[in-house]
Parts: sequence; structure tokens; C-alpha cells
Amino acid sequence: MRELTVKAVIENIQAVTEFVDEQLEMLNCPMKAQMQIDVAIDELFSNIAYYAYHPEVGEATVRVEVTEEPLAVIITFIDNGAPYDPLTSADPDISLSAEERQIGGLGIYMVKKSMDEISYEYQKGQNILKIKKQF
Amino acid sequence: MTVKLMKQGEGAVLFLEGRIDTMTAPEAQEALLPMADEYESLILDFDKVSFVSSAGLRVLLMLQKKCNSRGIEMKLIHVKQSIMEVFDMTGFSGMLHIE
Repeated sequence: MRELTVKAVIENIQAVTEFVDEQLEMLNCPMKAQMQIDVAIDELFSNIAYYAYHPEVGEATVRVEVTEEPLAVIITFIDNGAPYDPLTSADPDISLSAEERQIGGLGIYMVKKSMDEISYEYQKGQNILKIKKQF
Repeated sequence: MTVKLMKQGEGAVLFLEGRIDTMTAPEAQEALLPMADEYESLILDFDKVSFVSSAGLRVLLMLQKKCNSRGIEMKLIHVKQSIMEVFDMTGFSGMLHIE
């Protein structure tokens, strides 16, 4: 298990992505899965950066764990900000035309669709969001 | 990310390069949205786009809405398979004109 704690500011998305990708590369993660995980990081970390501590700034921890048989990574995002469960947001209707579409709600939908598991809990003042992706 | 513009008659071909994500979406929005006012058609060349997150999808949706409201055509070309999967997952492949 490895983890990285950074200031929850949007500029740190790159550092978090690199931290996770480095480990995915060591595991020979397929490009498609890596791309899906990077999309998830972009969504989940930006949520924390924009909303968790607003208007203050706090910290976020990203933890990467590996399980074998089947090979999978579990990535956990932890912050001490306002309780927020992104899984409660309604899925967007993806059959709508551009005019009918709302701007928003797509990010967490993509995470739900592309990960094998996603869970949220609020415990001891922490938002703990966990995603699991099998290779 | 960068956007290079090539005029083609009344229209424009926009060569996008790099990642369109949370960090770069504001600049993509700033660069792309005015194009829908200035030109009579837009072709977005995605050959060198390596990554699109939901923030990038939002910019594309805004641009498509703007093109629709002006009644001009917007088309994406040279979309990589990995990005096509993002479009498929979110229904954007049915909503955008992709060649």
C-alpha cells in the first residue's frame, strides 16, 4: 500500500495522477483501464479540491492498494471536509440531445460505469471514497 | 492543451492537442466557444488529443449547444479509440457528429 497526502487544490491533480499512474505502470495495467482510472481521478480529486473545504483549503489523501487474483487496484480518496456522498447524485440521461442535456453530472456517472466497485462512507469526520478496478 | 486554427472558407478546422481535463478545460472553453460565433462550420481534429475527462465533455457540450443555436455544423474527426470509449459511455457518440 502506498499513499500520498497533498493540499486539496486543483493544481495537485497532476501530482496525484502521476503518483497513481506510476504504480499502475509497475503492474502493467492496460492502457484502457489506466485511462478510466485517470478519468476517475480527474473527477474525484477535483470534487474534493472544489468543494470539500470551500472556501478554506485542506488536505486530501490518495491511497493505492493492490489485490491479486484477480489483479485489481483499490484507490481510496480521503478528505476531512464537509460530508458529501457523490453516489447519491442521479445518473444523467445519456440518450438526450445536446439541447436537452444539462452541463454536469457526467463525471461521477463515468466513474460508476467504468469502475468495478465504488463505495462511499463518512467516518470520524472523513469522507472516504473507494474505487476498485480489475485488470 | 493547445488549439491551432486553420481557416477553410467560411469555416474553421481546429487542431486540438493534449489533455482536455479539469485543469485545461477553462482554457479550452475560452479558446473554443468564440469560434462558434466567428465561423460558419467547425471541424475539431482530435488526432493529438490524448485524454478527455468529464470537464472536457462539458466544454464539448457547451460548444455543440452554441453551434446548434446558431445552426452551424460541428464535426469531430480523428478521434482515438480510447476517447471514443468515453464518448460511447456517456452517449456523446450519439449526440456529437463524429467521423
